Amino acid sequence: MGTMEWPLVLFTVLGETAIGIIFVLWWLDRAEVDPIFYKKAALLSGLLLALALIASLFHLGRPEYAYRAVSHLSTSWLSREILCFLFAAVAWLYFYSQVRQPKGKRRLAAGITSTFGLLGIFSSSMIYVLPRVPAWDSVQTPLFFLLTTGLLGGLTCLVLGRKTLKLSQLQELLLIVFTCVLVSILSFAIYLSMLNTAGMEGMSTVQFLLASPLFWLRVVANWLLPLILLVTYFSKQKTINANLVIMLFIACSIGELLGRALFYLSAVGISITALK
Amino acid sequence: MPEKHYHVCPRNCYDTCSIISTTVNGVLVSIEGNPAHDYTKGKLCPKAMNDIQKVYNPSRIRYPMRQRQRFSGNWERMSWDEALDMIAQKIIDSKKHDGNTLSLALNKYSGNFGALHNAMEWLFSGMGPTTRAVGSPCWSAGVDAQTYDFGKFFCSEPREMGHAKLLWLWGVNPAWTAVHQMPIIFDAMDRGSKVICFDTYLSDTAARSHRFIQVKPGTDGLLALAMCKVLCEENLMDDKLYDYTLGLVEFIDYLTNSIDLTEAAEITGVKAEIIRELAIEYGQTCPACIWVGFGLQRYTNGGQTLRAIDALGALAGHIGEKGGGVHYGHFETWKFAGAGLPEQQNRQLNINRFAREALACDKPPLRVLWLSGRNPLAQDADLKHWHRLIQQLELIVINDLFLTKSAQAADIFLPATTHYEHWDLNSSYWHYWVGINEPAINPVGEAKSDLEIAWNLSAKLNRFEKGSCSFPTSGSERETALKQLGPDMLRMLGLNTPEEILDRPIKAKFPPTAWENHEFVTPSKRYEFQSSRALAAGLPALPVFEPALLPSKETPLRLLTPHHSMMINSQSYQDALSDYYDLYINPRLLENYGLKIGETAEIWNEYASLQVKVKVDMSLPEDVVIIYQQAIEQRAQARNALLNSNLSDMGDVAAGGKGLAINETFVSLRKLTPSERSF
Amino acid sequence: MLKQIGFILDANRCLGCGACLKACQINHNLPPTLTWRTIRKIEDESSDGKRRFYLSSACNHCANPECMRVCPSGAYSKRRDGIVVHNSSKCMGCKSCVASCPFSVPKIHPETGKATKCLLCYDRLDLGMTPYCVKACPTRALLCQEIHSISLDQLIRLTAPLPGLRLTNPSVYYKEPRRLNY
Repeated sequence: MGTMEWPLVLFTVLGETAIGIIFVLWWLDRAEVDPIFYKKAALLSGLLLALALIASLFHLGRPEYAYRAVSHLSTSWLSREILCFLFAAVAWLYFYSQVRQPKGKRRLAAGITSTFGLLGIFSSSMIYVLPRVPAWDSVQTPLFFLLTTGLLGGLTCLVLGRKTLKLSQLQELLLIVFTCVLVSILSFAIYLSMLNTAGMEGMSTVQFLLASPLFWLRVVANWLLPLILLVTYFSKQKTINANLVIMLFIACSIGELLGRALFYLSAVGISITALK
Repeated sequence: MPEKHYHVCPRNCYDTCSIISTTVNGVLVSIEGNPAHDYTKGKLCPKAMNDIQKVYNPSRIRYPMRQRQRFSGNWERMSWDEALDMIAQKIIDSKKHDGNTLSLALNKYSGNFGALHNAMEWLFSGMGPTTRAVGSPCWSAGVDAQTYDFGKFFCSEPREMGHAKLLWLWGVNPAWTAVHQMPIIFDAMDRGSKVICFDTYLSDTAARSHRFIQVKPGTDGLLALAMCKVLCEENLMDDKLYDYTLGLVEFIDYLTNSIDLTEAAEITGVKAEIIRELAIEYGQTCPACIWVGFGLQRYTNGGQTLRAIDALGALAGHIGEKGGGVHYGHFETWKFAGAGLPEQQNRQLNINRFAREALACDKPPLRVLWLSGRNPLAQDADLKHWHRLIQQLELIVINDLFLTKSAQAADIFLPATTHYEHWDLNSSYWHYWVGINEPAINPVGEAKSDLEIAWNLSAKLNRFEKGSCSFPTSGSERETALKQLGPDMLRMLGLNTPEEILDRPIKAKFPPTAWENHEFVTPSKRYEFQSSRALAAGLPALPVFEPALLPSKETPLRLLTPHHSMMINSQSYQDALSDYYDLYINPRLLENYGLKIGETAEIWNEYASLQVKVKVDMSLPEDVVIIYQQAIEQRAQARNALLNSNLSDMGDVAAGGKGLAINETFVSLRKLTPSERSF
Repeated sequence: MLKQIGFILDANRCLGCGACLKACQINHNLPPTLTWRTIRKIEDESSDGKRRFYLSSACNHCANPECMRVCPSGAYSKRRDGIVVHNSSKCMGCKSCVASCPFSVPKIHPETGKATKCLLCYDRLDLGMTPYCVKACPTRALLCQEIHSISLDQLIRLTAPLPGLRLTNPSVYYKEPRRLNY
């Protein structure tokens, strides 16, 4: 089994949330957006991004040498990830400077920042697409990371803008969240069934997951509960209840953190021992 | 500037490696094998590689110490002067009290096999007639068996085994206990030789062989005799046997009348057709060599087993054949000059029943016991007798490197030097090399060599009472080591002066094939199937099968305790100490006793009980369990508590006393409830 | 073809004695909890008979090393003779190599927090000497050779169950252990 990688869980989930927020801001900015909400969300994304980058350092055996991490861009996804995140961090500074200016080019800046961020998230997921680890070595890994981005980015903005965003905007965001949850459930089901046929290591990952109470907690928090809440909401199509948004946010945050922790915990690497 | 020194690994081990050490500014920095040695060829086993760590190990005892109360662990540092005063005073007092020195006992064996480690023997000889542990816990039955058959205990140079076309490794596990023999065997295999391993379980050597013959414990002699019978039936005997053997007709008569192949197959567990096939192959292949290990003679019929295997070799004409023979060991290169002290009328106690026999001594009873190169509380049988003896003893002295299990019983601990800190001279009981051991560094802490301790104590004794010890009170360690090469040894090594051995280790100039030209040294000068000396010792004149002890209903499992690759008896070279032993059993036993792998269970017999962790070995018979030699934490019960001192059938003639039938230890196994488990 | 130095282990000669592992550990001053070599005991049974043997293995010095591909700081490199070298001064202990090596070779040094692995004693090879492990092997089971210079058809390698992993192309070969008549 893999190990509990708290620094990496925090880095990836917080980083993805931050980029998700910026991406959603860029998306919403097609129409008029409440400026106070926009500013709050932009600031929060920066805070989360900073926290994520700090958390990542705790993963390193020698954090003082972290600067060396960008020296192998040719083949190392980790190098690319770090470079993209560094660019995203610089871009965020530009983005925030534009947010503070009344006539700043905030949409362009948000676009640049989220492009670097999404590239970073994609690179970060590609680090784990290792032939050695069947649990990671699939399209599910980048999908999982990108879905987290959409889901938590969308939900955070929903929570921040629950009182100030227009109903149509809120509904748009809820639709993003709903899509993310649905894709997440479907893709995970396919992933699990495929993993179960991917040799001993894959099977032991599946067995580990199915036997873990944390996994079932995730099933409830990340998928079942949000699904019930969202289906109920969409079937009634009333005004958006603030409690619904907050419940969704809490459930999905817990679910995603658990999901990421399990991602590391359930990884079983192939150790080649057979002679042929 | 780095300095180089010669050493010889002094452990009780076949290989007795030649070592070269490097020191820088008086500190030992590295050791390596000596490439000029044609047997060990510059290679060391991982046990020896740990030497530097052993020499400077923080838990090594660096000062003399006194324990106020035995087994209390309350050790206090003392000076050498105080320690030797105490010992000398006790010796003088005992002598005064009894009017003789028989109450002083020495129990010394193979902790370090160097010639100068006989210094303790010399010291005791200098004091007068004393009580001594004699014989060997190791190989006695086989030594006597070969003495009856060949006239003395000797075998071919081990590299000669490489010439064999057929190689039988019988009850020997060189992959663990003599790694330097393995390349010789492997090279022979590469040249097309066939290797068959006979053992009671699938050892690592068996796993590297072409074929494994699983023999029921204690029945190897019968297997050999059954094969002898096949050789007779198939007329595969050497046709010159009448020229150089004695008692052939009688032996053939015995085989014809008393050995039945079907019965032998049942008893040994080897199918009759396989016995026949093996015997024919052995009879038809030249040269064919047998190497017999020590384990199969540690039975009450062990001597007979070896005589039967010798007889098989003789019958097929493989004795005296280049690349043939029956290898067991030898003692020819151990004829050290000693200290030139008069032979004393010592009170001799068999080392294997030392405590039992010591308790029976009176006039005078034992008062002082000196343990040197020994760890009886972790190794010997009769542990209950040992504990009674300890209570009776007035002073127990031990000289060693570490606080061993036996040191827990001592009153005084004297720190000994390693082979990197003293002069010595070492021989092997397997190959023919003899080498000098030079000190590379100063003794660690206040450690002293055995010889120096002996000198110093002799000086003390003589100061207290002039003339009370005739052993020298001082001298040169180097000279004493060189002096061990008397005229016999010098001739054997082809040297003019002892100093020549300082230049390099030397191989004895024996013809490489033992019993070449069939010149035996028995009373008849022939190979003796029929031995009058055996008869005189109260044994059958012919090699015969006598059943070994079998498990009983109460104790249905035979406990074997073979050597581990990282242990030499109780000397551990394992990296970590465990709190418990692993017990290897057949998977079916696991089922029968309702046990799980890794579960704590209990084995016991009338002497003790021991908690163990259960592990599985598919190759074990269902009535045999194994605990390998393994170092465990001092507070844990050692496995020798289960041992009783059954003696082997032979050992009195050449080995100084009968051996220990350690493989006739029987135990019962029991599942434990969780509350009974101590780990 | 490029040069490639690798280990060759005759599994018929390996006793699992640990001399190689110990010699490596002592001479490279590794702490007691860290070894560059591992020894595994393998047992199997087929219709042809039983086998029990030991595999002593260290870094495979792959033709396409995963460690080198994933390392973000370029600490890994492949020398002209094929030896995969880890440059500790470039390492930041990110454990990417630890996770990606299909042979579980790189380990984190408990004292430096950086990755560490067998370097095939390249400094000794450069001086014309053999690696410590090879020198220590009492049965000559372990050899170190330019693998393109020998006939490989009788030799086997550690083989991955997945085709993707085979691409690393390990440079360590084994002489297959014979089965025992038992």
